[in-house]
Amino acid sequence: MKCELSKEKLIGYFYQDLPDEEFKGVKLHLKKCDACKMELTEFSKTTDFLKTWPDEDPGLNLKFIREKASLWSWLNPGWSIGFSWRGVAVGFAGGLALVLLILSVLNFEASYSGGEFNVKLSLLPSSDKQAEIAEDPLAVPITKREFDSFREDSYRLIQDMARESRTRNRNEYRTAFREFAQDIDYQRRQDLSWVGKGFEVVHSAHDDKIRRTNLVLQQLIQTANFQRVRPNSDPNK
Amino acid sequence: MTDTELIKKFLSGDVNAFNTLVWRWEKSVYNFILRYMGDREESQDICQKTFIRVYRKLNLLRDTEKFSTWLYQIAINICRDEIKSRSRRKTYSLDHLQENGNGVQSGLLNLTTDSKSEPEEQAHKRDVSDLMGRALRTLPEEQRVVIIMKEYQGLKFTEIADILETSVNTAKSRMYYGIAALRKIFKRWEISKESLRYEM
Repeated sequence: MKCELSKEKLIGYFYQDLPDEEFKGVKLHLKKCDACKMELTEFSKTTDFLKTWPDEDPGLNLKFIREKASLWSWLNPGWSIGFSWRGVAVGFAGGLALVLLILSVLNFEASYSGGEFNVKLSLLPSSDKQAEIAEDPLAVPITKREFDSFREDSYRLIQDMARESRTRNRNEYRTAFREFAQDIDYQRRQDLSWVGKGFEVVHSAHDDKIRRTNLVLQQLIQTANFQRVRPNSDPNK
Repeated sequence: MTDTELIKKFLSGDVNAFNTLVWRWEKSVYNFILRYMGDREESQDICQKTFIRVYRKLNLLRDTEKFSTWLYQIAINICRDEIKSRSRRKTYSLDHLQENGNGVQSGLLNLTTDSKSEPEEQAHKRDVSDLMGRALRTLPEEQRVVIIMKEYQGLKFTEIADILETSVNTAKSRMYYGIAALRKIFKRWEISKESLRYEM
């Protein structure tokens, strides 16, 4: 398009999708602009081609039936913002779950004795511990020094275990590598012996061939000598 | 009954109201998807997915007056997702191969045959659909979608702009360039009214 009329206005005019004022303006413009008129004719031809594509029947026959509401769909009302009793219920349940989680984390116990780890998870302090505390009047909270020494002991224990585990692993690897090296060596010897045998077979076959060739050559030489001597054997002829 | 009234009935528990909505929009949405995607089977799947999503999310639609806009938005989003997953799988349809080869030429030859008997007429219709589909698929996606919405769905430019979340002028501009490109393609393929042999 080589005139000043915008393509948006022209397409809007073509589809009659322009405000009245603009529509009239484009109509006036078209009276004096052949290029735009031509453009509209071409639009019309192109859209006529497009219209030859008919609608098809989807052949789907979709039919929806009421589904039973799941618990999740009840709990998740689409995350809409605003007050709802369902939201309050979900919030309350979430808060309760959080409190239970905190309690269970606070009452988490782990111990190591006799080569076994024990883990305990409960909402309240364990009944044994409660009874112990209740029954033992001499039970007192441990001091910081005792706590530090306990921690150091645990740390040392874990270090020992790790060291032990490393040593065991190393020994296992060493044994495995040794066995592997032995296997490889055995395999190598086997291969070499097979190669040696192969060479022997080739060698003997080769010798046989040379011997046969020699034999044939000797016979040929004898025949040739015989042919050369025959004419001189009878000088009268 | 209007779409808004049907939506209200559905949201108050009447699933048949939703079925009426489906029945009302199914053909329109299917043909939109078919023209966008080009494959009938795939279009049926996407159409189903669209209505299932609508069924599940209808309670989230704030302005029920804009149901059709929202419906087309869902359909086009699913189409785009399908195209993305298709390109990830890197499979190529026969259509795609034909577009790059001699498919267009053979399609054109089929159109020029006489089509009087019913089965042949059906085949001819399919050829026209395939040819138009191929022509549309040569366009950039943003132009193709505007042309389909305007020419086949008969939407206003304001509605198209709403669906595509763009301005009316952008929609018009895409339409202009799309039609101009199609004109060139039809010329290159030597398509005329006579070759189509259909009443227009």
